[in-house]
Amino acid sequence: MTAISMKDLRKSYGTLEVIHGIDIDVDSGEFVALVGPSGCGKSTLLRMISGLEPISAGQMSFDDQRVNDLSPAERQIAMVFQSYALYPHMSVRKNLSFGLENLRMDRAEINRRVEAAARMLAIDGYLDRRPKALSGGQRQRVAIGRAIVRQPRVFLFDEPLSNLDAKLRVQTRSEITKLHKQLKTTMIYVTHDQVEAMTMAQKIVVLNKGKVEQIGRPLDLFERPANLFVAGFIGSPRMNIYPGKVISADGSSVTVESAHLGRFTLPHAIAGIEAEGDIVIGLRPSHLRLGAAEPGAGGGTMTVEQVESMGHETFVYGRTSQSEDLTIVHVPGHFEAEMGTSLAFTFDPAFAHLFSAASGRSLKEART
Amino acid sequence: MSAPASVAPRGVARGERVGDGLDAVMRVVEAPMAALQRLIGVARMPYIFILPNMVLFTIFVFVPVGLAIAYAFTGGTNLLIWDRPYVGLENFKALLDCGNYLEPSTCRYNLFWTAVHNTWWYTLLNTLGTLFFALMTALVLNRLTWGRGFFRAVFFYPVLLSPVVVGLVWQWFLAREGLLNGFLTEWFDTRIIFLLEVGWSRAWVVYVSIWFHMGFYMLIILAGLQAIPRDIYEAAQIDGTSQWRQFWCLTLPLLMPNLLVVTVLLLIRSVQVFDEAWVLTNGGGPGTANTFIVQFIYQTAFSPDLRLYGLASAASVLMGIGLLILTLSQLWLAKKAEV
Repeated sequence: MTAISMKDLRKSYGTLEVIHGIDIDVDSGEFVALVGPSGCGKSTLLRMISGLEPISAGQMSFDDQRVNDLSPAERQIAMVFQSYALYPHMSVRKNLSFGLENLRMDRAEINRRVEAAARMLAIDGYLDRRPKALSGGQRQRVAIGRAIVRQPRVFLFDEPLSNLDAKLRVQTRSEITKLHKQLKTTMIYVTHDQVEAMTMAQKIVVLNKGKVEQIGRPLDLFERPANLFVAGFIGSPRMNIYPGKVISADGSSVTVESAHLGRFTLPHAIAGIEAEGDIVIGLRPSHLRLGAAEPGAGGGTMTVEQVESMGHETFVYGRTSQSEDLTIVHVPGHFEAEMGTSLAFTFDPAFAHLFSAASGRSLKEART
Repeated sequence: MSAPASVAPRGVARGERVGDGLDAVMRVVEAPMAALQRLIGVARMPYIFILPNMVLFTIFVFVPVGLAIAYAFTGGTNLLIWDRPYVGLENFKALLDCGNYLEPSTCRYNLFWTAVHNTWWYTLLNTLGTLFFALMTALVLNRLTWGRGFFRAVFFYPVLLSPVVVGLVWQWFLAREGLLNGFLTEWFDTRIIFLLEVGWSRAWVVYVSIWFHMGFYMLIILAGLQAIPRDIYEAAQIDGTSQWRQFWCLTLPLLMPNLLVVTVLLLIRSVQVFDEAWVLTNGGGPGTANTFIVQFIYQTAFSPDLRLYGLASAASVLMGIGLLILTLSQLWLAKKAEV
């Protein structure tokens, strides 16, 4: 088990800096997910951890050992690629044993490790097949097996499930989680799929434009997003965002007004908030309810544009007057509504997230 | 000024842009093609589409091959086949009449067997040499981060030249008073008559051939190298694979389909060597040191004092059979390696 520490890590291509001073600590045996939109630098960061991409500045340590200048093999990491990167001309057995042969390991030990990994991943029936004779899920297991046999200090996963179909993705997701519990090895997992990050990781690092936006436990990120970016990125569907203004604030409550949501009062104080200040109000779709607002609660009216029913839950998409973005309301169970119908919605103000309109930072976070 | 209406194809309105010509052509051919399709059925239509090419292929490939085979069984010096007597396998027997196949002087047509020997050595050295240099060049170019396109063009450039030009340029370079001897005289006070010494002339024929054709094969190999996914090498790097082992265990096996194509093409081309070697060595010299099979065929058929079309055709047929055996064994080996 290995702890990883990244201090002011930077990556530049010529004069273009793509990773701007990242600080992340990964505890020994922890499962950390790096998430963010395409181009945010998550794969680059993973490659820097692996040693495939040189580090331009800053320090990377594995258990207090500086590894900046060590090769991938010297770092003793194993990586599972998005494309699996299996050796196409070798059998599954050879794919698993190839790395061990490089270490000039005893043949009996190689066979023992290969067979143990194959049994663990249920690929022992395919050891003599070539990758092209395997399904996507089986190839994925071989790629994981190739990582396991080396007994690495750290496992790195680069969007390993993105080539699998939805059903297989769910299944493999739980298998990787199980594997982590079994091996207790440090794992870093890159994904753009926040569902994967939320369900698998113990800690999530949200990246945007080469910077860390927030690091925290999955639920912390969902319930206490540090800024508008994290609020919009974590949670599916995304958080509803409305412009608003602080009307008054005292030691026990904050009253807010929005053209879309009316006037409502948050039942808690927010340190440093100023009356008359411009803010952004964030509300999760699951915190909105269809129906007229009760006195003191916030609410608005939207014109229905789309209804997505999954049977056990429905998302209603509508537009409040003047709004550019759609408001999304989560309705438990099946729900039907005609397009163009006007629907009232309400919410409990306690669930409203307030962000500074100027900086985008969470105002709730400022509370001490 | 618009074109007269009578010029426009049927169905094309006056004043329509010429850029719509394809549409116009389609409209013209549509009706007869539709009628043909109704007549013969959709399944047979592909044969109609490949017919023009097949007609040309038949005229310029199948018919000459057939004629060469037919000529191989005839004798005499008459050109027209119906004026030539049928001699059965006589031409083949004459060519294969040998005391010891490894000793051309014991053969009835010793020039043919000298040419076979020369072609065999040339094919071996040219194939191995070109393969080696094309592979090395492609490996180096594949690693370049800038200037790859430029160097690719530089190495490919000789391929665009005419074989006669290549032969002449190198002849001037290697001649007694040529550029190379100019340097040798200047620096080492010596002179080598490259094209009149057996060993040197053979070496230069192979070298010029490698220089001339390497770019083409390099391009095929480079395409193969670029098709190998980069993440396979990254996985190997993570597995701690040395550069040397990466080459032997990953690059070479993954490049094998391309190398096989290159080898087959090289073998075929080497056996067919003629023009640049003929020009470079002034007709296969010194003596018969650089006389190859195709040159033998050419001289036997078209020398004013020989005109042995039957014998030349028989030599062509034998060469064709040799090439067929070579190609089929390559493909068989490739298939075997794949399983």
